[in-house]
Amino acid sequence: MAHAQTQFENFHNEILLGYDESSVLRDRRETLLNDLKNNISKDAPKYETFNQGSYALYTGITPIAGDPDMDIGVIFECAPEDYPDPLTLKKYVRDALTRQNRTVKIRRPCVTVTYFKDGEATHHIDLAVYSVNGNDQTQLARCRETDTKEDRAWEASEARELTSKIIDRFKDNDRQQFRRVVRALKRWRDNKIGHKNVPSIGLTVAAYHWFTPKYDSVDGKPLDLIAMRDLINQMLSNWGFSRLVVKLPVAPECDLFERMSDTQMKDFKERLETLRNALNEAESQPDTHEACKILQKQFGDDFPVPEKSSTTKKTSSGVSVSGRSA
Amino acid sequence: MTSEQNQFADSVACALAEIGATQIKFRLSNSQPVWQFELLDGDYVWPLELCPVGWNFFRLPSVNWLTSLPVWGWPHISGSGDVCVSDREGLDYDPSDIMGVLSWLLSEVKRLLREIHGMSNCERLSLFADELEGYLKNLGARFAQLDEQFAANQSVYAEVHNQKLGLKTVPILRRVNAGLTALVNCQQVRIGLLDVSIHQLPPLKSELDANWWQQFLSCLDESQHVIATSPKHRGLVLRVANNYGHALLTMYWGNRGNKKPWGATVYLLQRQDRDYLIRRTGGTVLDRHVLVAGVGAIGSRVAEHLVLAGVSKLTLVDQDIFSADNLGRHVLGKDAISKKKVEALASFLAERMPGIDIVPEATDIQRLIDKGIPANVDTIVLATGNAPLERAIVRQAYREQWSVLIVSTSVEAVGLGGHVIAMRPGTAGCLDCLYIDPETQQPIPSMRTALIKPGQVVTRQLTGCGAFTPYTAIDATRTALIAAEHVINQTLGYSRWVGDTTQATNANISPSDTYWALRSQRIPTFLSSSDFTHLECPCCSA
Repeated sequence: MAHAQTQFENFHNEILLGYDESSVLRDRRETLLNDLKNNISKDAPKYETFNQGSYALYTGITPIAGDPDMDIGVIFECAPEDYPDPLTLKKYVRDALTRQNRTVKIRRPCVTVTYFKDGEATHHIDLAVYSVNGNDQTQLARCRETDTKEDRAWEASEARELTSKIIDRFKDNDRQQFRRVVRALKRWRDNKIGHKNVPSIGLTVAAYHWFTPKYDSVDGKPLDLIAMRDLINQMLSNWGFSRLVVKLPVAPECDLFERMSDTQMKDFKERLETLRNALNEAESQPDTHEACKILQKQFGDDFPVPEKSSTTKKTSSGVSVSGRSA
Repeated sequence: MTSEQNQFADSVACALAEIGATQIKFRLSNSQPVWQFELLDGDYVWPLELCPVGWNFFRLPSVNWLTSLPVWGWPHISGSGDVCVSDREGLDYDPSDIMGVLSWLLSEVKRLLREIHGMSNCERLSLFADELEGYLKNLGARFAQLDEQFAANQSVYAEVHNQKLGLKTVPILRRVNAGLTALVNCQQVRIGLLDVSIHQLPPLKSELDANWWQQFLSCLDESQHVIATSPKHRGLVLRVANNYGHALLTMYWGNRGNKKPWGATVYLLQRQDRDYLIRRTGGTVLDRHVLVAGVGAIGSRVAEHLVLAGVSKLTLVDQDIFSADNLGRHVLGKDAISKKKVEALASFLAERMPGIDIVPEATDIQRLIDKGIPANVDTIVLATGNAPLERAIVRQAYREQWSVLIVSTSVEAVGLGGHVIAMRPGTAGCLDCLYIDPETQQPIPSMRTALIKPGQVVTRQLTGCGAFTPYTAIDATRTALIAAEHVINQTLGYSRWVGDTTQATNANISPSDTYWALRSQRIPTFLSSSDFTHLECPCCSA
């Protein structure tokens, strides 16, 4: 029975991309925020910024191709009533950031800064614009320039609360395993489905709802393979007639997979079942080498396959100091 | 009297009056408060005496029935009239609730007296026989030991110590036996064993005279008479049949010569036989033969608790000599220094539980196994502190299909915890399973569930020569108790416990991941055999 825990942990170290660890990400963020600070209109109210998305949640991974994207929240010190047209604040942000080698576009949920190299888009940074209402609840500016005034709206969106909830859901070793499993699942998604078709936050929140930490009951070592298999089984058992509904645990409490088409949803389910079966098959292997070959097919080449252990040659176990006595 | 004492006295008097007591009289007896009063109960009036212990109800007060003394033949009533409404075991109440406590106590006294009064003499005596030993104890009878149970028609002896009191020599009965033991400075004297019924006994006192003897003889049948009057006997053990088997007492008259009138001292026999002592713990004697290999801090305590739990036979195996270094965490004391551990422990345990069969083997466990496991051994406890040796023994046991439970036990340094692995050849789940890495399927040099991170030096030196593993007697005892439970219940599986990190932190020793997983309760402390079985284990899965 193989759990390939060492390989799961090595895989995680390989795909891990954290804001704290990446100077590239930190530099990009600092540059952008400096531009915002230096160039924003004097008419704009004061604001503060925060990390949101996978870097805030410690579930970021390196993309298979290209540079990583990033999410930043910008909270203006004003109420929605102060700016009935939320586009005004988004324009302040856009105008402050527009430079050469990048385009800044106002999209419905955010202001997107896209970077180019040799004429090719390499990565983007999304800035979500918020105000705060009388109940201290953050409101997201949802609008495009092309929207009519009636369609421009402030929508309850508790991004910071979501981050706290997800981070506080598990502690210590449980939290570490949660993050490893979410990152592995996201890489599997990138590998098998494509980054855009199943949103990362949907996978993260599904794990928030249904992940249970798993350990080897004998020596207490984590069992990521079992934890992931059980999470997938939970997701599959929560599948409705044709769709999996994963609701945000904070406002606006929407279904995070609502934009997936039925075809995408069907494909997602089938691939999850395949992944679950692969995890079961890997677990049943007597040899970790064989188990990892099965897992690599699901997670991609970053999942390591150790050399086949010899069944005829005994490895010397040596001598150790046990510290046990009677 | 102090104001608190006055207040207590007033509260008791008021409560007595409220309960319906009349003729209430208060007096001090040896500075202790006593109330005499009468209690009406239908047609009866019970004259009673309330005697608290001190000026409070922290202990339940006694109530005496003021009747002609000594009272003989009334169950639950002592010779001095003390009405025993409760054995005072496990009572709980609010001692400041004077009214509540007295109300309960006196209603119980009335109920008891009424019930006993309503019985026939025969019924009363029958119940009284159950309490005969308690009755004699309250009368001040002396005590002698009884280490064994007697069969019918068995010869019985008294071990008598002739104690000098000034110019006189007074014989004191120390122990009654079957002729196989002898206390130091005691004379072995033949006495008779006589089965009688309570109805054949005239009222007993702690000292008996010729009148009592004549009255007693007149109640005996011919065969009893022969035993009682045999010139060989210097006394009699009386077995008085009751609902619990029999009450036991001894009359010892010794060698009085022809000139002195007959007189005897009554002794209560304090049962110390194993069956009795084990039953007092709520257990039963276990017909088991346990071999304990290694009688260090853990093994000695495992042995001690097995003995107290009723295991009938122990073989102790260890070739070490007890030294002063062992005093800090071993059950043995200074008397054992320089003695063979197994022999000193065998003597110690024989004192802890009379009648236990203990075989000390001052040899190496492997040498003993090479000669052959002693017959009828059904359990082997491995407490050697030598993991490779224990694994080798376990492998041999599995290979040769020994029909035994094997319990391997060890403690970790600096109070981090302990391990008990109980296995049975033929059943998967053994010590070797814990020495295989489940990921690589390869053997590993140390137990994968060790509580200390590998690669650290844990032994200590205090004198420059004589390394030791630092752990406390408490650590050894906790581990030993778990091991003993596995033996007693014959439970297979793996039990471990974890302590805190105080000592480890002070000693700069890092606990392992397994320690933290156990400490945070992420994984259970008990695993069944199948939970820790390694399917490729060369020992148990072969």
